[in-house]
Amino acid sequence: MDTLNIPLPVVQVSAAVIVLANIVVVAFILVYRIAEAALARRRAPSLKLARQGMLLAATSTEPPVDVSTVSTMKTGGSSRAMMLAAVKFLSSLKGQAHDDLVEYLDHGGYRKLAVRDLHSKDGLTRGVACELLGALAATDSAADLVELVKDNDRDVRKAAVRAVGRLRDADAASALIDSLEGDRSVSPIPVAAALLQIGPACEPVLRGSLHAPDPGVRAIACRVIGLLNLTGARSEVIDLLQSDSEVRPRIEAAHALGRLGGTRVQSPLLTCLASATDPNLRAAAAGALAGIADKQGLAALTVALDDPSASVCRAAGRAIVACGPLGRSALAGVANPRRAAEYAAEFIAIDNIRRARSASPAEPDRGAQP
Amino acid sequence: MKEIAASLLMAFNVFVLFYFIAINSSYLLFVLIAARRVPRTYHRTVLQGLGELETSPLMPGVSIIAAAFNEQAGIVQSVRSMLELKYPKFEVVVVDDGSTDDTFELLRQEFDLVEVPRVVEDLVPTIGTVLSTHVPRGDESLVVVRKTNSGRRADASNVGINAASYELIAIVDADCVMDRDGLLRVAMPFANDPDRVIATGGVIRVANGCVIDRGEVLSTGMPRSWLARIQVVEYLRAFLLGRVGWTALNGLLIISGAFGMFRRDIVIAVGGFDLHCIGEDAELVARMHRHMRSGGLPYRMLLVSDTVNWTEVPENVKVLGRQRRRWSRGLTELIIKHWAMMLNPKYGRIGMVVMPYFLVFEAIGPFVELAGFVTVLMGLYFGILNLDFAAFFLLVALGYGILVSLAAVAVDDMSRAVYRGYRNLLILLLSAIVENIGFRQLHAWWRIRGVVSGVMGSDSGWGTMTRTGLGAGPAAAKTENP
Repeated sequence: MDTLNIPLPVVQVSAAVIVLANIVVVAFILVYRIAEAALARRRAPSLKLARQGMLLAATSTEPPVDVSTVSTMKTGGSSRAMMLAAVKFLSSLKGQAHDDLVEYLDHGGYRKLAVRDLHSKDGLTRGVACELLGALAATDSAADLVELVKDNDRDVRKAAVRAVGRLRDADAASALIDSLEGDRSVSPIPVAAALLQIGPACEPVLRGSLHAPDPGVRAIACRVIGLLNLTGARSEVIDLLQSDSEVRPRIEAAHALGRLGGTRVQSPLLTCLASATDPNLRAAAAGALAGIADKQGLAALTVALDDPSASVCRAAGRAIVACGPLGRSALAGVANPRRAAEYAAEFIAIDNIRRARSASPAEPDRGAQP
Repeated sequence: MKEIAASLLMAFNVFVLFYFIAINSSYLLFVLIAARRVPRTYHRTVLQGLGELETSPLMPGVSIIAAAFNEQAGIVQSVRSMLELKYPKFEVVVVDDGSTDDTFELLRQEFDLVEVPRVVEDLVPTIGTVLSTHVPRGDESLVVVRKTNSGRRADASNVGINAASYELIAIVDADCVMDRDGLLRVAMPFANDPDRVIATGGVIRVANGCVIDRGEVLSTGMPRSWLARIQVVEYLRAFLLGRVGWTALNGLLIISGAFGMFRRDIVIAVGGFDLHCIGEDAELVARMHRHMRSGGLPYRMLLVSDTVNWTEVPENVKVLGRQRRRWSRGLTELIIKHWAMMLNPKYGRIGMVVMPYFLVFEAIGPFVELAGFVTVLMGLYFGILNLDFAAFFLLVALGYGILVSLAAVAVDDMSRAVYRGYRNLLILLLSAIVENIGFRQLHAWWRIRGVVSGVMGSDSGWGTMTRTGLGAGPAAAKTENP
């Protein structure tokens, strides 16, 4: 009978390769750990000094400023570690302590370090430099940061957008909106957050963006307009709610109108609630009527308690409750259909609990949500 | 006749050899893909700006759904841990699935629960009956739904889906401990791409051996038992790095039911969790793939590799075996149920790559593996194979497998490096070796039984797992592991 043979040299070579590969991997793990520990030990003294300096600065004590250590640091892990320590410290402080620390970091060469590291070949270093310049509100680096909004590294773009937001430079609003599109786009959340930080000064750009070809841009513009309470854009947002071809911008427009308020918003919202085919849009319209619905609005909302979509019913219930005594009275009057009455009962019960809680003496914090 | 049998045996042994090369190479490929992504993602966490988003109105609302059955050991701590997550807008929906212990009573006392007539509609099918719903008198964003037990976790999850308020739902195990910013991380992809992202998953890690206090992991350590230690390596290789690899290939088929986030409207559109499937979490994901592809809708599903949910794993062989049989049965049921996707170009990469992969390597694989070992022994006994072949076979089957496990440890060490200290490292390395010698073969046997059970449609049931509870306190956590 034949036997199945693997030539011995093949076996030997294979054994050697696999055993060697395993040894190499284990060795790599060990070397990596040892190297990491050595690096951390090497950086520890300067980091410790830096942290002490920052702590002293934040407590208004005159810290020793060693400019040479920081500003002459080579671009890389060490400079990054220093900048990160600074960013972390800054983010934990407010008021005078924050300002004192900013001054210390400026004089201590950190700003220079960050400006230099904006041009580092390493994306992580560029990103951390953006974070620090944003935390320092380094307005003279605005042009460089806006440039980095188009960086080839996605995370650097995000960090640059956040930094630009912290500079609160209205001139950068266009660049932020532009960053939502194209090959080197930025995720919408950091862009929206940056526009919120810039504040009402970016209103002209936002109003222009309501007519952008990209529905994502229109949606973000609506959202920020609502959160900034830019009532001057109300008419345009109403137009968008009524006539945009895409659902997402219309949903954001509904949310925005809820925040903007005013006498003219109820009618388009009610039309949306009654006739929109997308349940998310109807839910947004219902939610937007919270606190602003009059008798007509409340009547429409109580009808919406029997919407085919549960999320619309729930949004309507919340909106009715937010209308205070009128809303409670409207809920109490809901007897039919049965489903609407069940939702009404739920929100009456929830409202009763909330009112009992408000009326009772303050209790210790038990992990309540912000 | 003898010669035909011998030829068949020889051919099969060659086939098994190539099978082991193929499966270990695929694992290695995933590890290599993850080697590039996981450390980079971890080290760039600082650039994600999560701190600013903790209270941002830009983040979508999330309903965390936790099904609980007889979880009195740790339910209060778990719920507290969830309520303290850093996220601007969320609620916790605990579904008490007919617990016979003090699960509900402990929650009622801790959170001062009061019954409310909350509407729980049948948006997705359920079997059990909702008995009552409760909310705290305080302002914690918590809803506790009591229902009759139907023996299916999927039923409790579906009730949670029906009771949820927000547009995103996060399905978690009631006994898991999440990173404080875990919810933020898994929700980010939805916030950034609300029209396309429909599901994200977090990473599941082994909590055994960690010091957990009041719902927070204070320090990590390797478990005391070898069974749990092996699972540490296994979870790294398969559940972290493997799924990162699949995400990179746009072929994520499994999002763990212990930590997954979904768009609620899509989950409702596909009918929620399958009440008759053991592996309901994976089956839901498969159905979502099918729904989106059939509709020609663009979508993404991804694993968020820098967020962790810590879970207690079995340290008892019997319990572990039952768990693995159940997983294997679930996978088999999924493949059978969605056979229409198999090698069907209509379903893109899922149909042409992922489903065949799981069929060949995860469902049929354990049969091939065990049979391979048996036939090699038979071949040696009957003189068909020589020792050189047997040695080569062991090299490929075991040596290559050990290499993949060690590579997984290396990738983890370059990123989160959960297990500090050289003692932990030594245990980790030894576990990577032991995982492939003995455990993998035993695991193959359990998987075979699960596959057979899935094909035959027999009820393997959930059984019970003895829970020690996560973090009765630092000292207690250390002594509770045997």
